[in-house]
Amino acid sequence: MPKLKDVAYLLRSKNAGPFFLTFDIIFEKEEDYYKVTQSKLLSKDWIANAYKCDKDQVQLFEYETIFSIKVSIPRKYASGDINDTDIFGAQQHVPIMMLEL
Amino acid sequence: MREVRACSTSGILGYGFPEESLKRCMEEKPHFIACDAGSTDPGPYFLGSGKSFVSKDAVKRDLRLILSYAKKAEIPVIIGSAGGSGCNKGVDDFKKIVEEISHENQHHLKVAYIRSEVDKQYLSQKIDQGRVQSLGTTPPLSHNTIQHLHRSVAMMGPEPFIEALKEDVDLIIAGRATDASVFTSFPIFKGMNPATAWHAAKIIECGAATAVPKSHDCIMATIRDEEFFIETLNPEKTLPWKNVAAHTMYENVSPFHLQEPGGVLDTTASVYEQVNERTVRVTGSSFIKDPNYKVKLEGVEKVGYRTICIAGIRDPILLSQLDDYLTFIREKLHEKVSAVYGMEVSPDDYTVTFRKYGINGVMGSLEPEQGSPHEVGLLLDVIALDPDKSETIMAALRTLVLHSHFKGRLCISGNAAFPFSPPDIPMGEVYQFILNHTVEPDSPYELFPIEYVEVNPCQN
Repeated sequence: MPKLKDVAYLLRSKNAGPFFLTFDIIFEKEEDYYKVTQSKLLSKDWIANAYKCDKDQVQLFEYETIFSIKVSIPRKYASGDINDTDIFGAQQHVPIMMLEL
Repeated sequence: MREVRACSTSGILGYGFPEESLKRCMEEKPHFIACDAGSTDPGPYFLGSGKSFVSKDAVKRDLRLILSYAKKAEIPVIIGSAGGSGCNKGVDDFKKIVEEISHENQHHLKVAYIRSEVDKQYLSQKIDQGRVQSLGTTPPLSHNTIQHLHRSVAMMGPEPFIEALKEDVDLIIAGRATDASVFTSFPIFKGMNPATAWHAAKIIECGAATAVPKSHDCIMATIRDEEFFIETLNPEKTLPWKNVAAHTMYENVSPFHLQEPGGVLDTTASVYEQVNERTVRVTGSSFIKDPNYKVKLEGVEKVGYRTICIAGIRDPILLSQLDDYLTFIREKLHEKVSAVYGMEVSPDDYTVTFRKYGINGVMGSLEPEQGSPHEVGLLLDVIALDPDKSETIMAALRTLVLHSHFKGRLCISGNAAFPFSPPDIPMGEVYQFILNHTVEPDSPYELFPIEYVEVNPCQN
């Protein structure tokens, strides 16, 4: 079963300021972008479940120009908080990467 | 055709760039060279402590090269977020660097220093006037939160830079500024369309991050009213249009809207075209002015002093019950702390965090993989109210980790492997971000005083 990582040109997580995490997924092929967006596999519900946050706080954008999906969520802890585990937010993309298609 | 050519040397001043690339950019006759010098990305410590996360020598190397080429070409140099956090000490540290470069390279320089620290009284007044807004789900800013502020800065837009450019300066060293403002100020000063100026600025604020292979390098933007071009002049690199489009959304919540001081860059209708393998053309961007001018605030609170210790756990019997073991140690720790400090230190006065590298150390409770490792890097983390207590509590904690009993224990000589002597590392002050707000100043200049200094090599 292919995973999102197998069809991505770029797949990353990063801070969007100290209080938000953002994920960028750019697809290698146009057809994979449409396959994933039409299947709604990567939905607000799925993100809320994987990242244990409120569904209403998940922002999900389909960016057709570059066959990309962008997801932004509030950080569980602000960058550098006593309980934070990833100051740059650069290693939080793995659950999305492993999403089965 | 009317155009402004910009050279961006790298993502952060002090990260380095090949001199050869800067030389090639200079052949394109840029109208200015700019580089951003800061970020909140390395965390709250740098705004809290006022220290730079890039070394002084590396900053000096980059700035020396930039200034020598800019002086020869008689074009201005613009640096934003000096010192990393853009606090006043960051600007002052740059003063010394600029004086040294002036002396060593015999440059006479007219410099504008722009500060961006915000004082508590100003924020209190703005709260009373109802001119401070929260971002996201952050609660409204209270007077009590302001009392806890250790240091805060406001992120300037292009306007203070433009004020300084009107004075015909050689160099601008600014405190905290938005990354894009550093690059958008000169084109707007020259009367270019703000939409193309802002969008081009957003693409080049990270230097050549969009070029392949990715490395710290220079990049050029040619900005016109209805289009702009991004070009790498490094012959070993290409610039895929997809990377340029992708950078529009980099470190930003939305791929289409980028909130900046004074308005929003809207890239919904932007079109990216591959001109050749090293050049991309972009059209269709727009900039929507805000009815009220707002700037974003950044601020930190001091929460104590940290000591850390790394302890390797390999024993399989201990690994099988690690969480229970750590719970037991946490309970025992306060007995030890009380024995030293009595009632003087309560459990609320210090924080102990166990970071289990090998078991969910990076993703915490979000980790989807649930295997069992054969060893765990246990990072002990103590934060206490003063440095001595932090070290004393860590010493007690480390001893407990090394020598406590667990069910089935065979390794009674010690439960952990320490790679260093001394094992405990004092980390200094700990800060946390507490501002996620914007403020409406009376003008875009109000928070950002400019000081003009003539730096003469003979005076140093």
